[in-house]
Amino acid sequence: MSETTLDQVLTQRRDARREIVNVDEPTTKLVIFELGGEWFAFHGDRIREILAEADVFFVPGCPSSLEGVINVRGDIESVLGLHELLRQPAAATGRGSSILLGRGGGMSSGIRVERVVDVVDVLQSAIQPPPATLPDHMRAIVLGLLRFQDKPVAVLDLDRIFADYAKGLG
Amino acid sequence: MSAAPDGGAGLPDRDAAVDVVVFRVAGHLFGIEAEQVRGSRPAAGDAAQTIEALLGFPAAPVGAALQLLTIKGGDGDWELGVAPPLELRRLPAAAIHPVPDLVAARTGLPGLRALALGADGLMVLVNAGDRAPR
Repeated sequence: MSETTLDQVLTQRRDARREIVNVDEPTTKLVIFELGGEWFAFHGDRIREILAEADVFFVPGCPSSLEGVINVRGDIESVLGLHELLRQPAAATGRGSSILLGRGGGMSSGIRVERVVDVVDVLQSAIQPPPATLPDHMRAIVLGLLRFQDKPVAVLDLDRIFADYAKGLG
Repeated sequence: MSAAPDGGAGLPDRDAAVDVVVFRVAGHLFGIEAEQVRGSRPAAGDAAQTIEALLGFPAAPVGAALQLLTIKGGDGDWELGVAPPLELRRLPAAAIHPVPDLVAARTGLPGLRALALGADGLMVLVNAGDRAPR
C-alpha cells in the first residue's frame, strides 16, 4: 500500500498551482536602473531607447543637472541627470553608464543612469502604492514600489519629472 | 541665403543652408544668423554692447581686440562687440536643430534660438536681432 496520503497529494497540487502565474493578470513593462546604489524604474512605454554610449556636448547657460545634448541619428536630445531631483550622489558619466531616451509630459530627453539593471514585464499587482513615509522630494514623483531581485525599486513618474524640471524644480 | 524649408515632410530641403557669423565666447562656439548682421568693422574703442554682456558671460579683458558687428534691430541698427576671429560659415540645414524642450525651459542663455552640430562640436545659435541694449 502507498504511504502517500490524499492530503499530501492535494497539498502538492495546490502548491504547484500557486507557482503558476495567472497569465490573464495584467502586466507592465519596466525599465529598471541604478542610481546612487538604489534601484528605480520607468514604465517601458516612456522609454524609447537605451543608449550605451554617446558624446555629450555641453550647452552653456544650463543648470548642472542638464549635462548637454547628444546626437541621436541626426537629431539632438538633451541629457538630464536625476541625481539632484532624487537627492543621490552625482551620477557617473563614464564607462558603464547609459542614457535612457525618455518621453513624457509632451517632452523628450535623455536621462543619465549609472546602470540599466533589466527590462522586465511585472505583474501590475506587484507594484504597491508609495508609502506615506516616503520623503517629501520623492512623494510627487514616485508612482509605486516593488521588489525586484530582493531589492526595493521605486517606479518614477517621467511625465511629472519632465514637467517639474521644465518648471525649474530639480 | 538659404533655400526654403520643405513644408511637406517638415524637414529642411536637403540643399538648404544658413549663413552664420561664427565666433567663440568663453571657449564656446556661437553663431548669429548672417541675415541679422549688416556689416562688421574693427572697434576703435569700447563697444556699448559686447557679446559677453549680451549672453551673460564675464566681461572680456579691458583693451582686448574687438570687432563690431552692426546688428539689424527692429528699432534700428546697433553695434555688438565680439572678440575676433569671426568667420562666415554656411551651415547645412541638416546640422541645425531646434533647442530641446528641457534646454529651452531651463537655459539661462538669452536669445538661444537653435543648436548646430558639426565637425568642431556644438554651435549655439543666438538671436541678436531683438537683443539691442536698452
